[in-house]
Amino acid sequence: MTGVYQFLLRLYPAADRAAFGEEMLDVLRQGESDAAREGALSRAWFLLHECFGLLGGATRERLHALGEERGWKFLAERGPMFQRERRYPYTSVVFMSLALAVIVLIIAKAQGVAYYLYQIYTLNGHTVIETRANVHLGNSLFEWPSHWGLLGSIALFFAITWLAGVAAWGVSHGLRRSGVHRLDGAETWPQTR
Amino acid sequence: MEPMTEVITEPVLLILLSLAEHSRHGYAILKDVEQMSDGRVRLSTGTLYGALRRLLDEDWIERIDSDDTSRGKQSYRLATKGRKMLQQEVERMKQLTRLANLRVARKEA
Repeated sequence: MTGVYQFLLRLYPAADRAAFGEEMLDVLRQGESDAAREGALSRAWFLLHECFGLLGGATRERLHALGEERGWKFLAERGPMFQRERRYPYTSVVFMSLALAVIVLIIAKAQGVAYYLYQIYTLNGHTVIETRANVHLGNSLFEWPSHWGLLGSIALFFAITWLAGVAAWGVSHGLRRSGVHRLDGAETWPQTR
Repeated sequence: MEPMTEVITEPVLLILLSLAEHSRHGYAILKDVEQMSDGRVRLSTGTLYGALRRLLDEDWIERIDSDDTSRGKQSYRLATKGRKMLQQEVERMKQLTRLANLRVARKEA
C-alpha cells in the first residue's frame, strides 16, 4: 500500500511533502503494520480511514497554500485550535454546485431531446406537439440526442446524480471518521461516549 | 499569566497533553491520543499533521531530531508558549469542575 500512500501524499503541496512527506509515510507504514496484526478487517478499515484522512489533509493544505499565495486570509487558516474558530463549509459548497450542475444538465438534455423528437408549436391558441418523421437517432449514449430518449436520459442522469450522492456521502463519512470534524467540535469533553 | 478566553479543541488539547511529559514522534502521538481518549479520538495521519503544522506555526510545539532513529527522524515537544496555554486550559477545566461539583452537591443536598 506504500504506493497508494505515496500517490496521496503527492496531492500535498511540494513544500509540505518535502518537510513532512517521509515522516507521514513512516507513520502510515507503522500504523498499517499494527492494524494488520489485528486482522484483515482492521487493516482494511485503517486503509480507508487513512486514505480519506490524506485526501482531506491534502485539500486543506492546498487551500492553505492558495490562501497564503493570494493573501486570502479565510483560506490561509489551517485546522482550528480554538472552539470559537469556525470554517466555511467548502466541501458542502462544492458538492452543492455539482448537484446544481447535474440538475441543469438534466433540464438541458430533456429540453434538447424533446425539441429534437417533437415539433412543438401553437395553432389557434393551442399547443400542438407532432412527432418528427425520419428523425435519425444517435447510436452512442453520448450523442445528442441519444437513442435513450427523454425518459431514458432522465433515468440516466438520475442514476449519475444518485451515484455522485453516494460518492459524496462516502467522502463525507470518511472525513468524519478520520477525525476532521473533531477539530471543529464545540465540546471539549463530551460526557458520554 | 494572562487569562485565556478561548477554549482549545479536544484533539489539540490531547496532542498537547501527549507532549506534556516528554517529546514524541508522530505515531507515538497518535497512539497516545487514542489511549488517553479511551479509543474515542482516532486521528488519521493527515489530520494529525494538519494539527501539528498549525501548532508549529503558532510556536506551541517544536520539531526536534529524534534520538530513536528506528521510529522516524523527527519528534515534537511542547514549547514554552504551548506549555503556558496547556496550563491555562487545565486551570480553566479545574475551575469548571469545581463549579460543577459545587452545583451538583447543592442540588443533591
